[in-house]
Amino acid sequence: MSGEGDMREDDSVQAGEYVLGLMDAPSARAFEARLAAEPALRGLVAAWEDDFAALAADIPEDAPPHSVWHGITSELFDAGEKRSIWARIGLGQILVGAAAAALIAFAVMQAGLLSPGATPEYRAEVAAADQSLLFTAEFDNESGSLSLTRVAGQAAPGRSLEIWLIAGDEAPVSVMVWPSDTETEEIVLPAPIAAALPGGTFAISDEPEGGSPTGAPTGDVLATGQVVPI
Amino acid sequence: MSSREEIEEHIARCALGDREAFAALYRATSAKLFGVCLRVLNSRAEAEDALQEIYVKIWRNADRYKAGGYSPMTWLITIARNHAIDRLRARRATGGQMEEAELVADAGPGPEALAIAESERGRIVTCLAELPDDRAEAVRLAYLHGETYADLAARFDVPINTMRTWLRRSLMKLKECLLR
Repeated sequence: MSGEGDMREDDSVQAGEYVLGLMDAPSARAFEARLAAEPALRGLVAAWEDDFAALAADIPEDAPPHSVWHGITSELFDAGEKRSIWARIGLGQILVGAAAAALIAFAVMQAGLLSPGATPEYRAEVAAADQSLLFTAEFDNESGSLSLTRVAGQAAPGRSLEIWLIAGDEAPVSVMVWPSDTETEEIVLPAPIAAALPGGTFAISDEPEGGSPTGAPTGDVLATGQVVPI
Repeated sequence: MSSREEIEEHIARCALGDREAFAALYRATSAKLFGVCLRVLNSRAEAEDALQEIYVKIWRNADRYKAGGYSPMTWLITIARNHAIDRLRARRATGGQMEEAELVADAGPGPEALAIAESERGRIVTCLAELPDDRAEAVRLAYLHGETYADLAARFDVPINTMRTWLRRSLMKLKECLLR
């Protein structure tokens, strides 16, 4: 058998180990990095998932109690408009919880303290559909500094604007509550949030004065904007 | 059981926010996915919680279904299995000693497995039957009970590296058989 054949066989075995959940965490992460880049490997994983899913044909069906369906619909739909606003603009799920709030530990820095000569690598225009609210964001990957500028619009009287970062399907993470009388803010993002920023989406929501009490957006989403490389 | 096309249609409409399609999808597939949860978790209460979380995930990720190129039941079963295994491993990590006893009692293929019509089974069942019994059982325990190499080595009383070699050879043989 040729060397290439051996390699394919090995990939197939690795894909099987991955699907069965037999890899340790570092190996699984390394394998996932390859998956992202190699469509053929994704095909091997999909084939195993398809084969193993057939094992479920042997498992008898069992009707779940009605309470499960009620639980699903109340979790998904009872939160009402606030959740569906996010669904409509395609930003994915919102997890209301203290866990999100726990991530909101930011070192807020004043403008001018940032490392000199830093050139931003990512930017976003966070805008309402009618441009009545418009913020710009610039992010320097190396220093982790995020510069936000208010171009147009402001919070309603007695309310605050809160800025969120959403990465993939993750819950929105609060970036900051906008101080009502400022034009520009610069902050340094902690590493885990900075890592999530490229490819993420900013959103600005209307919140009670001082920001969301729950750690997740509670009010209308007023503006959104995707982070793009400069 | 609804046809593949019907289930695909339900998932596609879920991705557009159609709650009636979601209800139809639940009616068509929840008994199967609940069966999977029960088999993995071996507890009705936990399986009910898991099933709720699984359908929340399905609703929120319905737009990703097409991109994966899976058959709809494979997609649904894989979500359910992976979620249930995650729960099971979390339970084990927080010290479920009882778990071990339950699993030992459940280690056999199970009589109901033998009663299912051959036509409903995938080739995987035929191919597993070509492996020695203990090797096939190790593969099943990994898929349906989330057992790790360490768990399996302890269960079959072999060194972990031996178990790793067993499993890898089994996967190679299975793939050969599946591609025949």
